[in-house]
Amino acid sequence: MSRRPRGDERGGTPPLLVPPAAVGAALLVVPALALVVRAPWSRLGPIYGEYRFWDALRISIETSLEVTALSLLFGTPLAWILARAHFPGKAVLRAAVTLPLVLPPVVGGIALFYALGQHGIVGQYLGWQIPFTQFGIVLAGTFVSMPFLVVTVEGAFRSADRGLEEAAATLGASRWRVFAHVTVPSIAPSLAAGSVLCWARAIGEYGATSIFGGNIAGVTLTMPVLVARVFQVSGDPEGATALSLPLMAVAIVVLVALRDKWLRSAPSS
Amino acid sequence: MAAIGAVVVSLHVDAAVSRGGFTLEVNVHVAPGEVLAVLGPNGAGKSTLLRAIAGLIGIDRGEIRLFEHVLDAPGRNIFLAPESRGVGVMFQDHRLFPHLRVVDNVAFGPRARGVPRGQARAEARVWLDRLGLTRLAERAPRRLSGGQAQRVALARALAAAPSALLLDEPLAALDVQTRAEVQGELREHLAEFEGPTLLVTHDPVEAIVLASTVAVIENGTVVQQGTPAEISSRPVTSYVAKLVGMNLYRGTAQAGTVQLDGGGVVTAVEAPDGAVLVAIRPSAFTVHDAAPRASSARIGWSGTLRSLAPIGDRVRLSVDAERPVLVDVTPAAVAALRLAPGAPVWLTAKATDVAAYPDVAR
Amino acid sequence: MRRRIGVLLAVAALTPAACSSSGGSSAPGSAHAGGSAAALSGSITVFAASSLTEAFTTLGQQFDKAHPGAHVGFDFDSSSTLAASIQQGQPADVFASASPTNMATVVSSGQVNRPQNFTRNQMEIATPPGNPAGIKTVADLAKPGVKVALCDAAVPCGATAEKVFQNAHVTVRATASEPDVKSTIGVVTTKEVDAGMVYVTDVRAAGKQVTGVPIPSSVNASTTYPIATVKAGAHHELAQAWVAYVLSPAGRKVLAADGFLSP
Repeated sequence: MSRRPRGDERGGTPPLLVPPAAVGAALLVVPALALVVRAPWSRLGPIYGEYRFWDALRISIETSLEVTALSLLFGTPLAWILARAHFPGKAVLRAAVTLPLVLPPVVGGIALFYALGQHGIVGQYLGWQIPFTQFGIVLAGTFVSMPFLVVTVEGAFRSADRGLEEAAATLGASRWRVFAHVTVPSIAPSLAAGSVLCWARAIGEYGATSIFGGNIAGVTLTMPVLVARVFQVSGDPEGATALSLPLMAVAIVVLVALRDKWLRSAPSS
Repeated sequence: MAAIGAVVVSLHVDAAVSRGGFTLEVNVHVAPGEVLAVLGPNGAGKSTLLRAIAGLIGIDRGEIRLFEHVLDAPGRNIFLAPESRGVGVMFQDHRLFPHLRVVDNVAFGPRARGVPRGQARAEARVWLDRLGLTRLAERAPRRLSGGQAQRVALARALAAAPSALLLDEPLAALDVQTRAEVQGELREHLAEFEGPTLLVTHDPVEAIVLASTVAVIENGTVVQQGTPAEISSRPVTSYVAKLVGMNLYRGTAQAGTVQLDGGGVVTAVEAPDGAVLVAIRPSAFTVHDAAPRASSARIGWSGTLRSLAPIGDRVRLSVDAERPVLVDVTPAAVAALRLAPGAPVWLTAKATDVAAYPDVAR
Repeated sequence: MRRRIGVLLAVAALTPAACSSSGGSSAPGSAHAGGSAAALSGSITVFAASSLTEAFTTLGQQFDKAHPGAHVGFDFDSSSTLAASIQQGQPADVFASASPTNMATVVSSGQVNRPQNFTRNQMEIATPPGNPAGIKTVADLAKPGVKVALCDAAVPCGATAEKVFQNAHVTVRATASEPDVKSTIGVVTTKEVDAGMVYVTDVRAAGKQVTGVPIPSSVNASTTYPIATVKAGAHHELAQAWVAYVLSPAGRKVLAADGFLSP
């Protein structure tokens, strides 16, 4: 006997999907839950004081937001080019864009030295210090995080309604106006989703930053690097656990809030 | 290059477009204030023509111009982008911008011309008023009915002050009731538009109601062009005949008597000698359940009734006679004659109801 | 807080014991290594401070050759990371730390047997080849605009570098803080910093990739390396043989060749 469907439940979930979905959710949720359960709740205050935690959290939030802004600024046009333009070597460029996703983090850090260091192939002409600065951290974060935005937004540009763009052109809108006033608004949900993915990757970034960033407390030491140091160098897993809690809290609050405000509005509108 | 602006001009298309083995070759002119309906089956190239005029695709040969302003001429390496043409388009699927309210959709054209936001909105409201859409101004497009959305789409196209207007199956997506309403309004507004209008449709009624001239397009070429009355009384292809509900036959005339290709003879007044097309309205026939005695009717065919179908207040009979023929009768006649599929029937028609005209295609 | 106090107490308790044991145990240790050669078999994992990478790799090859059927594998990392790993129960048979502090944490948690000091290492300034910034003294590292890579203060090379700065009465602000000495010298080899504070042995191991600037003994500081077998290890006899071999004259010779000092 079937249960009477409520609301929009019709065409609901095939029962076979539920067990694997539950396993999938457990794989994602249980480790995070374990952190919360095992966290040294009574020692949080002293731990946060001991490790200059607030500095690291501030640096992480600032740099991850700057990474997201840079990625939007440069990644959105890049996504457009990849989605719409025709030119030789496009397949190679697309592969290069996704390369940071698969590059081992340490190699990413070294690659950034070779590119932007004072002897780097680009850095030697710039004449200003990029490695071991906050700007360096932002560039390292952009290097590893922007691909998430580009891949998401490229797909959106590819599937955006060309009919709307044609209509705008027949109304006299220039290519730029069509892009800015029709295409971009029509893919706003994907831009939001791409930004959130990009930001989430940036705030959790460890590998390239730990090589390229300098890791100086209060200046270039980010939250993930601090957590790793506390665990590996100070041999304090409880401290590392305690330090990771606020990062998790910030991420969950932001992701839940944005999900309600932006990401869900796409299909239901 | 700037748009042509509000000068009243005519539209000239003499162009060929090739698309994957299919070639559209069209030569049409639309005068200021004229509405040309391009009528044709799906795949005939109607939309290709519209997209070429709008600048959404390029042509391969010939030229498209608005009076003296060349929009596209590959021979002279001229191609004006859509935004520079001043050609407005009303699309079948309205294509309203989902993220803009109705008033801002309509203001989009003026904004693109560089009109400041406030002034553009004011202009948009004037157009909404004119089209009776004032109360929809603040709505989001997704909260509009199909008919409302098409009206807004027309307002948006007109607000951009186009030199020419293109309508792509503007009523096809609407239900029957709404279609009738919007069709009436569209007719009024098109009458007020001073530039040339080109309407693409597969619906002959739409073409006849909205257009002053009809061009029938088949397989990429214009097969017939004329007033709606000419098209519907003297179709030149079976497609057009079917569209306008006429029986159409090919034959050879000799002194008023036409020998039809494939069998059968009709008498027609004013039939020119030689290859002719013969058009007979379905309602011109009289149906008999037995061989008629001598009458003034000059056409007498016999055959078997294949099927019956109600059409409005008539019943359309499909008869296998000397030639296949469609006949319209009243339901009362069907009852009186006890017509049923398979029944033998005799058909008569007057020579004055038979139009015979030269078959220029032969 | 409690953890730190515990560490200090352990260091205090350990130091005299370690000193007294180092001299006495070397002779029987070497005898042991030779005597039971035929019986040794199996495989052990040695957790060793990353500054020991070259010396221990050489010693391991010699040991394996001397004891067919036995194999010594290594896990080189910062001493504090290795100590933390042992505390978390990662399988290891021997722990060789670059400082008594890190050894003390696993001694106080009761996870290793009594440690013995087997060598000592001093600091040296490593610069990119040719010393482009012209670093001559420790005091040069404190000059504005000079970019210095240091080990994290929680690892032995960082703590020892800090002692050198105290001896020289300078305050050095690091440009890059690295998790272990190999990372520190790695950053120097990228030429992105002007200098790094590393062990004498690392400068020697890096060869032409860096140029060393020796630190005068009046301001230099050293760190002592203790070694101990891990209680949870599976091959205790082999582990003891390895410790004895490191402490033997043969082991000292290899260490000395790499620039390590007597304990």
